[in-house]
Amino acid sequence: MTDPKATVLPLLEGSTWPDAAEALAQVHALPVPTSKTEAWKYTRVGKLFNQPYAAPKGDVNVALPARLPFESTRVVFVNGHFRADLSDDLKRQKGVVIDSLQHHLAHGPVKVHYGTLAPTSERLFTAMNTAAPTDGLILLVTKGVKVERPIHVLHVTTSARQLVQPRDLFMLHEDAEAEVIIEHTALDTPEVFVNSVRECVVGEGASLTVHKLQHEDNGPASISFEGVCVTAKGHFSISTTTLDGALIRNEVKVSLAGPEAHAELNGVYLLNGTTHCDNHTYIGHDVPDCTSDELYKGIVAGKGTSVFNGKVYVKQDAQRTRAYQSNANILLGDDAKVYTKPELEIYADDVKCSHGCTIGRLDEKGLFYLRSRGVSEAEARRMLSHAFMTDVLERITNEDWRKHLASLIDAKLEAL
Amino acid sequence: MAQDTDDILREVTSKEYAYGFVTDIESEKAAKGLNEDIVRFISAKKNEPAWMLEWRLEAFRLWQKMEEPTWAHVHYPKIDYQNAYYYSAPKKKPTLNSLDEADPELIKTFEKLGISMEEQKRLVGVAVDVVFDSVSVKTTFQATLKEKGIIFCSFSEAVKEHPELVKKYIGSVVPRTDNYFAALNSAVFSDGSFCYIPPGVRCPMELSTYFRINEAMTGQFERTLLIADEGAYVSYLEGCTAPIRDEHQLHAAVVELVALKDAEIKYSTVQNWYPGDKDGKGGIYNFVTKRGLCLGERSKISWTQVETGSAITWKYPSCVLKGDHSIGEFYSVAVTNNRQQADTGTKMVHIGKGTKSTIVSKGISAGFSNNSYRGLVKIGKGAKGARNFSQCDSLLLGDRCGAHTFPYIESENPSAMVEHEATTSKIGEDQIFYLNQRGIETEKAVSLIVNGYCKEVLNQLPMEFAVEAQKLLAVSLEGSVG
Repeated sequence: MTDPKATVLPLLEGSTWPDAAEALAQVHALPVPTSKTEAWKYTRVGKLFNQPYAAPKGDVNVALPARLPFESTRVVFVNGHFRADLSDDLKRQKGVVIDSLQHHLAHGPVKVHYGTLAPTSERLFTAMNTAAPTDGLILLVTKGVKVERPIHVLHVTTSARQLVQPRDLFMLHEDAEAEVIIEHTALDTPEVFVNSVRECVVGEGASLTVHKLQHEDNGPASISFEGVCVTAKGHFSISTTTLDGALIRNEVKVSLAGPEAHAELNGVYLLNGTTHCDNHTYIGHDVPDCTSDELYKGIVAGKGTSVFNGKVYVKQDAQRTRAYQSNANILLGDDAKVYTKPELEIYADDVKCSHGCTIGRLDEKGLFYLRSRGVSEAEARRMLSHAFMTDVLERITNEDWRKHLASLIDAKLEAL
Repeated sequence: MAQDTDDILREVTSKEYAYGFVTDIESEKAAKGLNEDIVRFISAKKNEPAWMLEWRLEAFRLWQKMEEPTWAHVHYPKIDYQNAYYYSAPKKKPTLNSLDEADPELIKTFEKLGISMEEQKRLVGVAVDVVFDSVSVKTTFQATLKEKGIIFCSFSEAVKEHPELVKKYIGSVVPRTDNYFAALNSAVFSDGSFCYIPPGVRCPMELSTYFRINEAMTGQFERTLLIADEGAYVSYLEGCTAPIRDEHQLHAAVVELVALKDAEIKYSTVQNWYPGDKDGKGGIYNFVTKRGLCLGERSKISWTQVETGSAITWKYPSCVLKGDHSIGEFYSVAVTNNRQQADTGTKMVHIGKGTKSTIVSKGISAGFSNNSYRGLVKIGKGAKGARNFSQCDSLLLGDRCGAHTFPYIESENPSAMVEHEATTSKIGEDQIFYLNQRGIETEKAVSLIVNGYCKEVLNQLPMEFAVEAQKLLAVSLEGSVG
């Protein structure tokens, strides 16, 4: 039998990025996950290897979407390639490095941290990315610096059948603060395979907020991995909003490595068509006194599929851990599916951990109440659906972004 | 003054199994190892008809092609299936007319366990089918049951007397290909209980079987088949204790329940097999496949289990809700101490319309033990208006034990409602303080809190068992103050 990876292997060879050769050897060694691989039980990725891909091209003309309705520093990547010409002035603040990662591979901090949070030994997609990254963003914030404006990273995919492998490295030094909005957008570019890896190092007392927005109409398969390490008193928060896409897998692996570190993982998904969205999270409570909070909520219509697999791991002696995890789903379509698996693995005793998940439909009583007051059924459904998402949205502290997101969600609800 | 926490902990962790003793009964053994000849030997020993042997052999061949599963959250040295005896029966005695003729050693064993047959016989409403190392020795109350048309006998008897029923239902809920241990059991099962409740009959008493594992290095392979015909009701109890042994002992039982239209089966288990000593030496491996099939409309199957024993428990009593508006229930308390490992839970597979299921699981871990809940709730495409509620709580006593939850929830029908919640915490110091303050010593306070924590499950047990279960909980956790 021929190796199904043969379709991607030609694109992974000959990269000069660090660790590329070892990673390539891993790509050869690791099998493509099947439904029998526990971590990929509900998400089939075999079909991603059915066709050959082209190498992504960055120097193409693109019409960029309108800017966000608030101040931000925009960084543009076209098919995974950094485009300085389309990006804003990235050197406007002292103590902050925002640039193409490729330009900084030889620098000290990159050498120290690159590859440490995304091991290639077990995960095929991480190995693939490490073997030949397209390019990515470096964000370095020095001690005590607060990045003034949110950084808006815009990934645009322009043509079909290519393999794009974004690779980011975020490093926040002591007491630094940054907010990053990562938006993936594509218009009718089927059979693109975006395989991203991001590593985030959150220093002592630092705070990193990441917002991910995925709306790739008839878009690529998007497999992503975020390896995060939060040290003492650090704060990491990520909110993922999935509106469109084909096959989406968002993996977040957070290690709470210093006392009083905190992680917050939020997600909203509105799926229709045949969109498959898999949110896979792992929070490792490695030391005492850390807290984590996860809330994922979504509406699944049409032939959409939602997968949630959250794991909270509390190491021995990680006492006084507080970990909460919640996943709520509303099923709208007869062919919609929800698979959820919230896991707890706990080896310390002084802990308060809980998880909960629900699958159901819109509240009939609520609908009746609104109908009896003259609200049309469609409108009533939209109101209830919006209300269902509200508690996740309310966790987003950036008010401008929250409003923008709410309007996108409302537009999507119209379409459901 | 309340005992010092450390002292109590030491006392508990060093507490050895109170029911450990060996009954010296000559037993008839098959040769060591497993091959087709052993399967033939077992079948011949039981005077089984040809179809039964064929069924066993087929299972054996299937088993040979299967691989031992490794996904459970348990660790144990690899089992050498060729280094075990697959059949052992207390030596045949002429048919007994009364209890006096029974082997006095055997009677003594039961007396030590506090379940002497004398007492059991007099205990109103409980018929005991005693399974002593794989073979039914004595069945009581059979006449009373016969009047109602209820068949309650050993499995080997059923194969001879009621082959049509056995043929129809054996393997219909747990097929031979289901899993590694079910296949093994199907090939070498020694004996077990068979029960059939005819249409419209409400079984007048709680049926119960006591299981014992006695012979050293003997794997015990029970097989239970319980059928409730239309509109019938039965409550079945199962309880176990086993003596101290150094060699690990494998127990791979299969329990199949079938509930036809409007029938109800209540299956309760109190399991207290030898868990190994405080260093994890010895103890029973309990790899059991239990499954109920709600075949008819409005049928109901309810599992209640209190698991305190076994070195390793690997068990998922499940319900397949096929009939429309059928109901599945699972209530469980699992206690692990010392080096015990438990990976237990349930599967609720909703197929029919309007099916409902409830899962309440309470895990308690102490010492160096690991206690996992693993469950599946699956709502099929046709399960319109299905409803599930699951609650899995874990209590940690001590900082070297683990509590884990692995729930799988799958829904493919938009009208279904599924809820799952789980919490993990230790006993609240404020609760203990409150009880201390009122003059209740710490050990009693813990026992009180644990009992309260398990109340929801214990309430589901029949009276006879509830008392025993509460005692077991107290013994298993005596003083485990974290």
